[in-house]
Amino acid sequence: MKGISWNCFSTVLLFLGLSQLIACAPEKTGDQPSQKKKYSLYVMMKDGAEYILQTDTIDSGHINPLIQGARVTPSRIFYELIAHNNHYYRLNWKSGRFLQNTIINKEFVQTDSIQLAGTWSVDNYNWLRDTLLLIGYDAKNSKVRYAKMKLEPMKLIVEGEVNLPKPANSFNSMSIGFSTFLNGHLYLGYTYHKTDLNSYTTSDTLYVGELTYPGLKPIHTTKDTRSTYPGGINTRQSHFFTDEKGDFYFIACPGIALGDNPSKPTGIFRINKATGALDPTYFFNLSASPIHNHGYGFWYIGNGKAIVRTERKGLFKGMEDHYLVPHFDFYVLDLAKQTTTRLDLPLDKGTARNCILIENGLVYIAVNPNIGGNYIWIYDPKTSSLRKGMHFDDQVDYILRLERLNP
Amino acid sequence: MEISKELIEKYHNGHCSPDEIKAVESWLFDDEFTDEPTLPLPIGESKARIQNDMWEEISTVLPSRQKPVVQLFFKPFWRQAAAILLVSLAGLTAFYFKTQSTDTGVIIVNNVSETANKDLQESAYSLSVGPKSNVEINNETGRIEFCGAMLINPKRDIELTIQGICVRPDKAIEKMTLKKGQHYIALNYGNASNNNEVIILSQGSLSGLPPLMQRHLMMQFNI
Repeated sequence: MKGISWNCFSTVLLFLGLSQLIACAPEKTGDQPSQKKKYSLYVMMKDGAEYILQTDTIDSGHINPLIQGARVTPSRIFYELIAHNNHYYRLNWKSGRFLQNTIINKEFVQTDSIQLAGTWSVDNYNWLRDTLLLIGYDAKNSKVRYAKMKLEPMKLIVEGEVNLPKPANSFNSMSIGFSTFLNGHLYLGYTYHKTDLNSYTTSDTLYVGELTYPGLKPIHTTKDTRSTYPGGINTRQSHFFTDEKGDFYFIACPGIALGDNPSKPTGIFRINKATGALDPTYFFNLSASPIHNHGYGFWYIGNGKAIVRTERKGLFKGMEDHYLVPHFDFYVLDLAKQTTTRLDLPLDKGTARNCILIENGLVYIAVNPNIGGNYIWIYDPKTSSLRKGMHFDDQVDYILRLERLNP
Repeated sequence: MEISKELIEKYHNGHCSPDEIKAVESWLFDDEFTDEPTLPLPIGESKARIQNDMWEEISTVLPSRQKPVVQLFFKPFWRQAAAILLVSLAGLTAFYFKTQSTDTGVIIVNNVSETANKDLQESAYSLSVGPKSNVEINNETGRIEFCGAMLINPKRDIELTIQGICVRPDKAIEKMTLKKGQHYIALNYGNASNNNEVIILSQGSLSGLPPLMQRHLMMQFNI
């Protein structure tokens, strides 16, 4: 009896094992944790569900998040992520913990974390080789906080307060729009806000603070009123970069979706490497250019050219539909000549999207219009040509992030 | 013409004049409610005694006519009239109480707190009213008027008309369908170009707001 039952048991086990092998074989080939994918895509479906997809190719093919993706929880963390070396990092503002998540077997799981002081969100991050520097404003305690850490494994090196002037007079909040290292110093772009639960606007002045590093002692501060809201939260999308010459460019965004001081123009500023100062003679006024609108995201594509993502007034009513209605254009900017060229892409939706990736001289642009399908478009600046790359399933509503995940 | 017991009996026995017939019939089919019962009990007589008298009268005819009890109960015509009157009264009372419940179905929440939310559980949705915000909800019409900020979390798909009343209460707002399980933020948003934009955002489009506003709302409503 015993022998028979063992035989039956092992047969059943064998059958189950085989069926598992057969069922899982095709998926497993592309899903080994050790097999790190090059790219990461974060999408929101029409039913509101959010997925991360990892893939090695984005220049062709079709992708379906329901089949190839990992569901992301909690929801709406897409603007907070830093993708780096196969992991996703974010600061949980509720707990003050800085978390590391990884996709393992199609699951978005927490793999490490460290506790930071205060209640804040990341306004800006910067890499110093393999060290990550986070900077943000703690509204509850009226402090600009920073934290420096190593990531694998996660280890806090130092955290503290950055000595920037606190909001004063009628201003009650502030934001750090950019952070960059130039000539061994840390440069921070910032501005002040008046806000409560029902209202929001930004000062007409932007500030650029130059600080020693790592001492964070203020050296010099520049004020400028040509535009306001310098840069933007760089976990959301790109707003600044350093070019081949070492000059630093940033966009100032007073439009309703960032600064909300729309009588100021959207424009581009430059900090010259040679002088280490905000260039008083350089201002590329985009609102006065043929674009005639406000813009937000700003990406460098090389050789003195950048792409700006600009809204189109008249197509949206206000903040209620700004995120929903396709009204965004992509323009190629010549930073020296201050010329603009519209890319012939469908009107795009989503107020902010981390949607441009530059690799090997090609520009990959994720576009999600309401009609015509969601694609990654490939722009070749050498030939000024555009073609369609990867296609997304029709149930995808927004492609919120496109980024390099592994080298 | 006053409708009396005698007149109704006279009508039943077929002895009424055309004017009297008209008066009785218009009384019978009139649904209007009057505070004073048209047919009060005779003064000094108890209800029980009248009932006994009636039953005695009925019992005298029961064996010979062998009519169904229900039909017998409504004889004489005085009882038919009373039944109609009772039914009419019940209907009117029901209508009256229904109207009252519509009045009490209007919920007003005035949150004067500077920091805390006020929560409200309705059968179709839950509501969290932000600090310094006020809300008036009419569950009969599905209309919500508000000034400030609130979070709506529908328990099933519902149609609501959400109207901001801070500044321009006459602005027409269309009915919208809120989906089960989603969070919605309704906000009287004061920005540089419009000091009172009424916006209703699903949890996805909350991301369109300036980051500081988005964080503020997410923190306030813990979403």
